[in-house]
Amino acid sequence: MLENLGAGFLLIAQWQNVLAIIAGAVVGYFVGALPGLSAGMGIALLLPFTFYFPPLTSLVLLTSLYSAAEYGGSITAVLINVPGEGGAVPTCFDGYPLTQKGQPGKALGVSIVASCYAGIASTIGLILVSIPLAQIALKFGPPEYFALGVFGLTTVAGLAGKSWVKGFIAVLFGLLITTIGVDAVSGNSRYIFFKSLYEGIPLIPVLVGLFAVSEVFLTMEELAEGNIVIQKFSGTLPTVREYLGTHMAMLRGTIIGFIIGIVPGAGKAVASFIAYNEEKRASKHPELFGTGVLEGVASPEAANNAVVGGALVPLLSLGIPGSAAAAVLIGAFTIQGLQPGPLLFVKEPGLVYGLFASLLAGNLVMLAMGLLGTKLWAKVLDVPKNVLTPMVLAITLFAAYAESNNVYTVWLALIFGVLGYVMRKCDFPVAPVVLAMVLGNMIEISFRRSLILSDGSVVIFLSRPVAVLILGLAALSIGYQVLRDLRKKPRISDE
Amino acid sequence: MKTVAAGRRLSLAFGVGLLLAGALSAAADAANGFPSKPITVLNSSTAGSPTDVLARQVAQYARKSLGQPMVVVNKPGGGGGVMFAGLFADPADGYTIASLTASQVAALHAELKKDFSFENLDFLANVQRESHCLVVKADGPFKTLQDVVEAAKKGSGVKVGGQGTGSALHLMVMLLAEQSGTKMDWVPLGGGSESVTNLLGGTVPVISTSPATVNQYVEAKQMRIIVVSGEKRVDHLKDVPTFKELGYDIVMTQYRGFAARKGLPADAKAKLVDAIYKATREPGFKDFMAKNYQPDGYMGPDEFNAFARADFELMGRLTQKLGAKK
Repeated sequence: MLENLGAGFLLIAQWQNVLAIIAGAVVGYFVGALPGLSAGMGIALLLPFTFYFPPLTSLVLLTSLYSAAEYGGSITAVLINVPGEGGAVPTCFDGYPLTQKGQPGKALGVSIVASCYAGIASTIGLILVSIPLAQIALKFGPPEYFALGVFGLTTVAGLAGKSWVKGFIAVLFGLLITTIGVDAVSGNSRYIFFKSLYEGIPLIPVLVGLFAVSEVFLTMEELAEGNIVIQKFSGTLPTVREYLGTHMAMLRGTIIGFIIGIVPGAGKAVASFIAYNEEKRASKHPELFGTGVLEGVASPEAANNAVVGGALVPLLSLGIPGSAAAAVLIGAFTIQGLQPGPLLFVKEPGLVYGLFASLLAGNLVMLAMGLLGTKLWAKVLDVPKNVLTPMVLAITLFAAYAESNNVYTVWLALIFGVLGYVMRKCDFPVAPVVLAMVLGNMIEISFRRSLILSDGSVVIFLSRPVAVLILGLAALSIGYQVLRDLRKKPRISDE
Repeated sequence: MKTVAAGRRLSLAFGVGLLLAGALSAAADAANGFPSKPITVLNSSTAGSPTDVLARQVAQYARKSLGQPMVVVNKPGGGGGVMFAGLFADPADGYTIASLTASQVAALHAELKKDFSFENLDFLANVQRESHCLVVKADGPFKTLQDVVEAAKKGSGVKVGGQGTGSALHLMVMLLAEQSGTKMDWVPLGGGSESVTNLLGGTVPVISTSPATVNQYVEAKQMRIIVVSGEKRVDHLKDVPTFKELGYDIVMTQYRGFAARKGLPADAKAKLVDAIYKATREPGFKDFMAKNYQPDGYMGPDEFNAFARADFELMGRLTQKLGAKK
């Protein structure tokens, strides 16, 4: 294996491959940083150009883009509270408060180190155990997806903020949104009042609307009232001590992200929400989460990037993509006349190990770029708010437009912006809406598929060990939260 | 007054001049011919899916004879509805065409019926045509179609998974259940790779899919194709019988080709058809088809229009028949 990897490094040391890694990292960095452009879209955009490249160069370029894009999403989340995609939402929770405290450099520094750490650790995981671990992907039938979705939803308990009831209402609202569109099981249309609703309400416009547009409205209000505090922002990176302090958070985040990455279609949003929640639970000071603690940035960021390695496990050994971006990567393989799957390791070992080597090298390129960029990004915040705010609005609306190349999604973003503003004014958390939208379809479809499989009996959820295990975790997750709240405030009449 | 009239005359002359110039440039355009700008190819699948890769391959080679690039744009969602909406939003000038398969055309019977009509499509050229198939796990309990049918006669029947609801893959299984007098429950799954996962993971014992989706698993001896749905056996699967050979009256195929909005100019249509035809004759393209075990399924506009109509009508009859029974 080591000599294969050595051969892989020799392959990627060729100039065109080195160039491809760097180009991929640069493009990915910007694709990730622009809200609304996801890794999958970045790969899809570059895909047609790779027709003319040799196979390894093409794949190296695209996987390098994939890793860097997963990191890039955290930049806007930290700086301006605009998560570019579902997976970056938990990064806002502690990343943005750090910026508000004037320390964006710390948040960005932890985020890039966590991303690189997770990228390299998950690649090593991919190299060592991809063939045995690929079986996890096959263990996931409909009942397991249902269980995972429910487990994901329980993390809301940790996110809900002050009021459980309000968090719950936000979740239900998000779930209701996902019922719009063509029903994937029966093929019936639900709430389709005009053609654009066929596909349902897309996530990105809702996401940027709830987070970014509402933030713009709030800032405009502050500006109008004239109570803006002029603040100094520093691009200072975390100290070595602070990095070491987040080491366990990175490790936990990496493991969670890697495993969830292997499960096809579960996605990085689920991974980073669960990682954040577990980190809060494991922490000695959970009450500080949400006020700007470094672990709160490290864990979801690590999970985010560990998904890349995880998603490649079933892709390379079974030919099944673990994520949306990995699904587009399959296209890159097919264009080159390669078929990822059981025969790839046998037929093209050079290519596979070259790919592994490029993932390791690509993460280091990303780390260098990220650390160099931190100071520069922090400068963005020195732009006066009355100049920055309209720019944020423009970028946000661009993100909404990029989703579908359709003005309709821009309107959606604005509508959800107003809604987000009202919700935040009334102390409703907006993150649970996003989480519910990410999970809603998965929960519903896998629930109904399970019942078709079992001829209508719910015993199917309790007769499969993996499903039982995950449902057990979900119960624990809620139980723990309830217990802690009971212990904290014995007087129930409080809230 | 005089000056006003003169002014009027002047502006009239100016207007006529403008018109003339416009007409001239239009004439020049026509002389240069179609296409004078890039052609957009809408695709209802996501980047990297078989139809998308096919469209990109054709686009790459068609550029040579068109002199303009063909740009593939993915418009996934709504069972093809989003793509059709895009196709019919642009004028019928040949600059926006669609790459489509039997599945999206069949959807015009169901959900998409009220918004789009088959009659508004002009089928340009078909490129691929292949059988559907039923697949089982290589080490599973079923070895032949007969085993599956036997099992489906007993108890709660057999679950069969595959992409979509009301899709050709679904209808094929319902037809089989009807003709064999057995119970087969359809488990609608998201796509080809989901079908693969659910079969390998043992969630469903049988899947209905296309050979292209499972070729490599068959080669790796993880799966077995037990029947194909075409008129004849498939070249690289000589041992696998057709439904017809086994005594079932089922012949269904998937096609992948290009269509435009009806009413496009005749010269534009001829240019597009010619470019697609020439692209499919390129050695590089033939190589791509061979690597993916795809036989040449080329059909010109007349043949393809007739074929698509026949297939569409068959799907309509099946949908109605099976829908009425449900």
